[in-house]
This record gives sequence, C-alpha cells and structure tokens, in this order.
Amino acid sequence: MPEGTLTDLGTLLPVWSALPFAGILLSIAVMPLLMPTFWHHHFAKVSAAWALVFAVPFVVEFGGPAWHELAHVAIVDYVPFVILIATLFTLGGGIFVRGTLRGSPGVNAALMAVGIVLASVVGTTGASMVMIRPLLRANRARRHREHTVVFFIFLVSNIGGALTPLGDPPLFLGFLHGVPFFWTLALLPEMLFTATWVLALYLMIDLRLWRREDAQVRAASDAPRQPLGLDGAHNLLLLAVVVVTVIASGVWPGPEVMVLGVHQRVGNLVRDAVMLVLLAVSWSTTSTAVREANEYSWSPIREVAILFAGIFVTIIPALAMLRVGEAGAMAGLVRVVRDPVHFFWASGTLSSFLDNAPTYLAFLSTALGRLYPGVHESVAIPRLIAEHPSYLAAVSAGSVFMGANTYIGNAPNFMVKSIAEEAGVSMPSFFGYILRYSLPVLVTTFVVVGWLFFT
Amino acid sequence: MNEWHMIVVDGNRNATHAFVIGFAVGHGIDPAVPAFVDGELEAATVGERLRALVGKGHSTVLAPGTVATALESHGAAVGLHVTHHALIESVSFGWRAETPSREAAAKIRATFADLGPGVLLVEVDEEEIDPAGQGVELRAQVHEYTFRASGRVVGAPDGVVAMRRRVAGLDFVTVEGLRFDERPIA
Repeated sequence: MPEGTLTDLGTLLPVWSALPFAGILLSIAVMPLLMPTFWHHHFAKVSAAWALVFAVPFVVEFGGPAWHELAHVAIVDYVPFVILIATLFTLGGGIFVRGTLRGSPGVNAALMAVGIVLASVVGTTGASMVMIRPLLRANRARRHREHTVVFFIFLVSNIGGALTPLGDPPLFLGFLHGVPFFWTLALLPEMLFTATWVLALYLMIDLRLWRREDAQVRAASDAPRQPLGLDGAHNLLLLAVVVVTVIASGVWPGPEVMVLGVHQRVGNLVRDAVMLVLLAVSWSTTSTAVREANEYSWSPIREVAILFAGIFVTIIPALAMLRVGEAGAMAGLVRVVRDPVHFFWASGTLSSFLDNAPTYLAFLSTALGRLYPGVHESVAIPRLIAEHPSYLAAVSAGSVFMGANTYIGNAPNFMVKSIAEEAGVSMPSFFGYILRYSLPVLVTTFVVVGWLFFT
Repeated sequence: MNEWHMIVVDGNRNATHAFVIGFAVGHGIDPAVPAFVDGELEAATVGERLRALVGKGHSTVLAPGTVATALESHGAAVGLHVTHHALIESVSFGWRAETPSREAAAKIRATFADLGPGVLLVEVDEEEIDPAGQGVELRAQVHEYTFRASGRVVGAPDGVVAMRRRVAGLDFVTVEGLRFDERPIA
C-alpha cells in the first residue's frame, strides 16, 4: 500500500477500532493512581496487550497495508521520538545545579523563570529534573512549600515547554509530521502571557506565605554558603548541538530512502544518528556523581519507549479516521470541534487527563480532517500553517499548557510530585491539586487565554 | 489538675470563650488550661464545624469542674446554656502516617517520642524498602522507602489535646477527632 492511502483506511475503519487507543491512554492515566505497584511492575504487559488487541486483527483484516502502516508509524514517529526523548533526558540528567540558595519568593520565582527557559531547550522532563532539586534545597527550612512545587509543575513541567519542538513531546511529534522547527515560536505571545500571569500569581501567594514563616527562616543565614555552579556544564554544549541538529533536519531533509518499505528522509536518519552519538558522549563524559545527584536512571526512557510503542500502534485507526474528516467514523467529533477556541479547549481538556502527545496528534488530525479532508499530511500541514495557523496554535497551546491541570496530564508532573514527597514536601492529593490549584489558577487563566488568543 | 469536665454550651461561641477565660483569670486558674475543642471532636458534623467557624451554635470546653458549675449557674444571664456536662476519664485520638521521606518520618517519630506526662501511645509502625523504587521514574513511580505508622494517643485531656494540636501540624499525618471516655456527674 503506497503512502497516502491511509486516507482510504480512514473511511473503512469502524469507530470501535479506536477503543484500544482509548484503553491505553486511560490505563496510563488511571493505573498509576489506583494501583501504582501493579503499574510499576506490569505496565509493559498492559501496553503490549492494548497494542496487540489492535494490531493482530488489523493485520489479519488488511494484510500488507496494515504492516505498512505499522512500519510507517515506527520509522517516522516512534523511533525518532524515543531517540529525542532519551537524548534530552540523558543530557539534562547530566547537569547538576549546586550551591546554597535561600527559598525567598524572589529566589523561587527566579529558579522557576530559569526552568521555564530551560524547558524549551531540554524538554519539560529534563528541565524538571535539573531544577526541582535546587528549588527543594532552597526551600528546605520553609514550612509552606507545597504551593511552590505545584507552581513549578505548572510552569516548568508544562507551560515552559511551549516554544520549541524540543520543549514538549506533542510539539516534537508536530515537527516530525511537518510543522517547521521555528513555527512553534509563534506561540511566544500565548506562552509569555500565561507564564507571566501564573508566575505573578505564584509571587503573590508566596509573598503572603513567606511573611508567615518563622523569623529565623526569613532572616539571612550566617552559615557558610556553597557558591552556585553547574556540574556537567559541557552537556549544555551538547544540547546546543541537539538544537542545531534538529533544526538542520528540518532545513535540509535530504533525499528520500526506503526503510522497510517506508519513505524516510536522509536528513532525519542523520539527525537520529547524531542524537545517539550525543547521548553516548554525554553518558561517557559525565561523572557518575552528577548522575547520582540527579538520581538519573534509564527507567524513564524505558518507560517512554514501552508506553509509546503501544500508543503509536493503537493511535493508527484514530488518526486515520480523523484525517478523512466527515467521511470517517469519527465525523461526529470533526463536526463538533470547529473553531480554534474549540480546539484549544478540546485538546486541553483531554490533555489534562490523557497523555498530551497523542492528544495533540489526534486534534491536529481533526483539524486537518475538518479543513483539508483526504489531503495528505505533507500537503495539508503547510496549508494549515499558511491559511489557518490559529488552529495549530490552539491545539499546541491546549495540549502543552493544560497538561498541567492534573498530576496525570503530563509525565513530569508525577515525577516532580514523587521527588518532592521524598524530600519531605506533603503534596496535595489528586483532587486537592485540581480543586485548590488547577481550577482557581490555571483554568481561570486558560479562560482568558482562550478568549484573548483563540476567539 | 486531676478532674476534667466536658461542658457543651449552647450559645455564642465568643461569649463562651470570654466567660470561661474571664472566670479562669478571676479564680486563679491559668487561662490556658480550659481547652476549646470545637471542630476537633470525632463526631463533629460538617454543620457543627461550620457553626464553630462562624462563632455560632455550641461550644465544647474541657475545663475544671468550677468552670462547669459557674457556667451552669450564671451562663444563662449572658445567653449561654449548658446542654451536656460530664466528667472526663480520658481522651484519645487516632492517627496514621505514610511518607516516602526519611526526614518526615524522623520528625513524626520524634514528635511521638515526646508525649508528655499522662499520655500514652498505642502504636504500630513499619518501614518498607522496595529496591525496585530506586531512581527517578515518570508514571511508574514507586518509592524506595516508605514509612507507615498508625496509632492512638490516650490519656489526660490537657496532654492529649496539646499532643493532637502538635500532630495536626505534621506533614504526611492524618489525625482523627478527639474521643472522650466520659462518666456522668453523680
């Protein structure tokens, strides 16, 4: 089956063929909350089960074209995605911020501002891992710490990643599907507005709570201070090479080659090879002490690799049905979600509870299916950017920003919660996080963002 | 003080506080001794807690018998009516804690190691080490270290109430309401 006939598949597949996709996303969202130990030990089996529930009947029914779709999603999406995540995480995990900091509102806000900038370069997961420990160390003596960690999740683990495809997995998937590297900079007004507003709210709250801290906490300490510094700073240089490499793969895609029957650009293959080299260089040149200080392990990369294998297999029917617009079994969704503000809220609401990367892809496909039904992605995405950029901006902002709405909206949220709890910060419960922080702070902010930028 | 009385007073909460503290000061009782435990009781309903917040409804006071007698004799003059009065044999509260933080666990242990006179702790605690939980993970997070504890603090009302207030300020600890072991006034 030649590329492009995914369109035909989209008109043939029944709506229930997307059930395994819903199943795996719900499993990822709910199981770590309800049965963490089971999930820790068996998530690979759960992911494989959902993938097989879709893939086996799919291959049996459609044969060669189905194999082609599976190979296509593996080569074009999955492998580059996992390589990028692994590289950014390894490079980020090789940087350790040392030094004595006092957790005053100003210092906390400054650390978060650094984290926001870092998130768009090293990814939200990497930035969270690098910045959360200095923030926790700075606030060790404070009584009121919970709100600081929650706002860190809002800003560094989510909103900060909106500016480049390296910042958040959904945006890298967009890049892999043809969204230019620098297009995401178009989200600067939305991101600046949201980040500044949320950071200002944080400062107001923290200033109030700072006044309630014991006098000895607020007073400058006479204890000897360790000067600020970076260990593993050479990883910043490697990160710069990552940025250049990803940009180069977009600017110079190179000729096409066939890999397992799938068209792939040489530029993409070179990019992935360079990433692996950078990963190896970082691994071999960064001291073990730095990795241990960050509690770096391969587990998050293994986790992403396993879960996204399942996600990318099961997402095939959903994307195919959405891309054909009203000609597919998901015509109802295509008809309901019409304007940019709908896309902002629909992608955001789902990203609040399900992983935001597949949600982004699903709503990007919905937009393409609505505006350019049946047109191949390589043609439709440039047209979407040229003719209706607000749709893409709405899906991008909704997916990235609203991953912060719950602990399960984005992978680093859980990681930060866990690191903070181990450092003695009593974090709010799942519903406490939503009721006390997300609804009053984020959702109200997003109402303004949706009204300002997408109506 | 050997004898503690629980007095439930119907009337304005601020007026009850003023009456009790004024009486205590006037009779040479440390004004910090009477304990106002509204909202800290095991059986407190949401309505009772709300009424306690706005200063309406009734108040529960732990105090020496002379305070109870004074309230029964003279409270009505300022709109305060004693609706329940009993001798307290002991007070208790249940608590449980779970934390992946060694530092927080140490704080919890230190707090319960310093109980004060007349207060007992019936406790079960355990530490769990899970080697699978080492290092940073995303959604598949389990903690390498988990401290779990639960117990019941029992004893003299003043010590138990003070202890409950200390414990309620600890992170990772859930505290139950006060339970009274009371005896009717003969």
